[in-house]
Amino acid sequence: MPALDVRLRLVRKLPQPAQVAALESALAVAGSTEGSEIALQLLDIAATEKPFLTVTGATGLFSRRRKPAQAIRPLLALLRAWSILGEDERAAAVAIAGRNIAAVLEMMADDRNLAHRLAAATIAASHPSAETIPILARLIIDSDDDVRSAAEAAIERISHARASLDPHAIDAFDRLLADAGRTFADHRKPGVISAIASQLDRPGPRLSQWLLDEHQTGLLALRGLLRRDQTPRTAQAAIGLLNHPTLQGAARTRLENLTTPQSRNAALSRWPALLIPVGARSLATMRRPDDVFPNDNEIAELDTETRIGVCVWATAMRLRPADRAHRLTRIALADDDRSALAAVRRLAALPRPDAEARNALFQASSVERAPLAQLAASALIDDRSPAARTWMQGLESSPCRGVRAIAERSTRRFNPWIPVTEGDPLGDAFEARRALKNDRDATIERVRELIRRGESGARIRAMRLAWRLRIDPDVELELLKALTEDDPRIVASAVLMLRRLPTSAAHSALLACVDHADPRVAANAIEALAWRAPAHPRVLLASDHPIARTRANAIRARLTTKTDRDATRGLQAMLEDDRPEHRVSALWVAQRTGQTGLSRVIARLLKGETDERVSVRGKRCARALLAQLRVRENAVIERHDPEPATGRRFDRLEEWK
Amino acid sequence: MSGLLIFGGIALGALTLAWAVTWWVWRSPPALEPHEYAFRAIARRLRLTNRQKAIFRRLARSIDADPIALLICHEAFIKALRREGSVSENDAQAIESRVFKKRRRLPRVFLA
Repeated sequence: MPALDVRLRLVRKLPQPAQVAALESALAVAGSTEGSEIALQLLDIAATEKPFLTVTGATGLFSRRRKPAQAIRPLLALLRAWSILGEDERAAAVAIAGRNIAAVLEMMADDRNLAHRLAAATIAASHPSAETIPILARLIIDSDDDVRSAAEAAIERISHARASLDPHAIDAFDRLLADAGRTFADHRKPGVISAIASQLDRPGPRLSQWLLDEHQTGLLALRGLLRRDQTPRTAQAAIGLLNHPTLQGAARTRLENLTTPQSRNAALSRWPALLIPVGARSLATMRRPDDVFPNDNEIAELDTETRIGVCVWATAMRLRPADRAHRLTRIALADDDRSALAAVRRLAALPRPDAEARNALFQASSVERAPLAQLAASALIDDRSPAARTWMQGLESSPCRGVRAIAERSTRRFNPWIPVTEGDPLGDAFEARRALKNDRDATIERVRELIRRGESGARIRAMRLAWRLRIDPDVELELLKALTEDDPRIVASAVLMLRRLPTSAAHSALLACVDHADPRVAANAIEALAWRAPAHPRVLLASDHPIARTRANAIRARLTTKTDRDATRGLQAMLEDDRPEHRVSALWVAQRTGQTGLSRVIARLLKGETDERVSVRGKRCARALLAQLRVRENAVIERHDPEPATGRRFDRLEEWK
Repeated sequence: MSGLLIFGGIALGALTLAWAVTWWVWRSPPALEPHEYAFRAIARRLRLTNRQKAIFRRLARSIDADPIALLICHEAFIKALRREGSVSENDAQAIESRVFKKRRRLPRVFLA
């Protein structure tokens, strides 16, 4: 038996504090072989200590609670000797410490021994977690510069490894950066500012608040770093910061100095941030805008996101119209569908497209990719130039059906004598308005005739046309007569078209249709009544209607008034209804009226939902509400209001989207 | 009967008192520093003489360590011995043989 084992066995017979003190003293001076044996003994003691455990005897008389100090003493001894421990021993020590590591690190940070405080910083850097990270906020303002430097290095190291952290650790790191930024005047560590800069593309809530506080000394350092730094990461972050009230100027300076293609591409690919108008406006004031864009040869090598970025930037920046059109044209003629669509959309929006832009639209409209060709053809529909007219005539034989329809419509628009196609009464609204202007009586008579007889689809389209042309008072008799038809589709449409008519006949007809046997008719009648008077007694009564669609229409109408406080309660009751079809309709209403206040109810409903239809509709509703919350959040940021009012609702819906 | 009760009561009281004293001693913190307590306890178990304990303390001071560390770590003891240099060879060998060498127990027949 080796002699060390004998001596260690003697040590293990001592009281626990003496054991730990002896082993810690020995570990400090031991060589590698004996050191590892001693460390194992300490690990063994730490593992057998069950912190905060109540040891209860048979009668409870002997029960006692272990003191926290007794539980963490061996851990403290182990972690103080961090630099001596091997990799496996370190991992074992951290695993055994578990959540107690926070208390151990606190004690190490309070220690007068410099080596112990340095060890605390090293542990936080090598094992970043929600328990270890907060200690760095204390160590970064330590009295000793070595400890401050170690904490700075730890913060930088964690910032590089942020992607691998769990959400709690990310939250703790966010809090740490905000605290370290706040105390920048005390420590003056540039590494902290670098770490903050590396998080600028997605700062947490606390760091965001710190960034908004103009009185922070650290912000000056951050602005300086942002201007000087040449890495692609800061270039990408700078795009998001164009909206930022305190960092806007520094971000713009950074974007004016995109010296490397990597930085430029990184910035271009972050184009969604420019969809917020403040960012786009800020970009417009940039100096030397032409230097930003890649040349024609480089465009071919860009990825999709960067190409879309070129389009967005070209639209947002102050360029000469010819330069803007040239850049968009390069992208529009590329093989990539998404970026070509983005370019064509922007080319179509140009107020006066030049010959190059028009040629690009011509070419894009002749490709066999339907969405792109249709978009380009739509952009040319109003172009009166002879070249465009000739081109559109050529497109009537396009392989793409949508493009052919657009070309025919365009030709008809400029040549009204071409007969309308079968099944499309009076062509489009443009043609109908023209006809109404030219000969009102004949047009009204023609619409009446179309409502009176024909196949159902054409009659319904004619009713809608009457509504759009605002000639519904002229066709009132036909609409009232249509209420007696057998086809519920016609009746339902007629009911809806009666809603604008102020006559008592129309009103009586609507009231009669509320009790119609067909649910579509009844629902439309409620919708029409609510359109006229949202607080009508029949609408209020219909809030408890047994037919889901009718009930949903009534509640929706009441919600739109914004004065009826019971409407939200009614919608909540409908969401919690036992009948699945009522829940589906309620989710539709919540989505259409943007009931973000009911997100908790919707999340609860989806959590326990078993019906497939309700789940599908619920997810769609959650997605729509999330989009609204995001828009509001962006608006909040735009107003420079740091209050994340929608955060908690946001989290609840996030898991159901 | 009453004598038995009195005797039982006295015995119970004595037992309770013994338990209370034991518990109090067990729970009360040691007057010494833990590492000093450990050094004295292990030195006693190893039957070190006062002279040998003093040598350990001197050696520990030379390498800025606790005496218990030298008592556990042979490598540290050797290092301190080399650094201190004033310990006689006899003393060093005596300590080596008592603390760090593997000791064989004598067979029972020789103990009789």
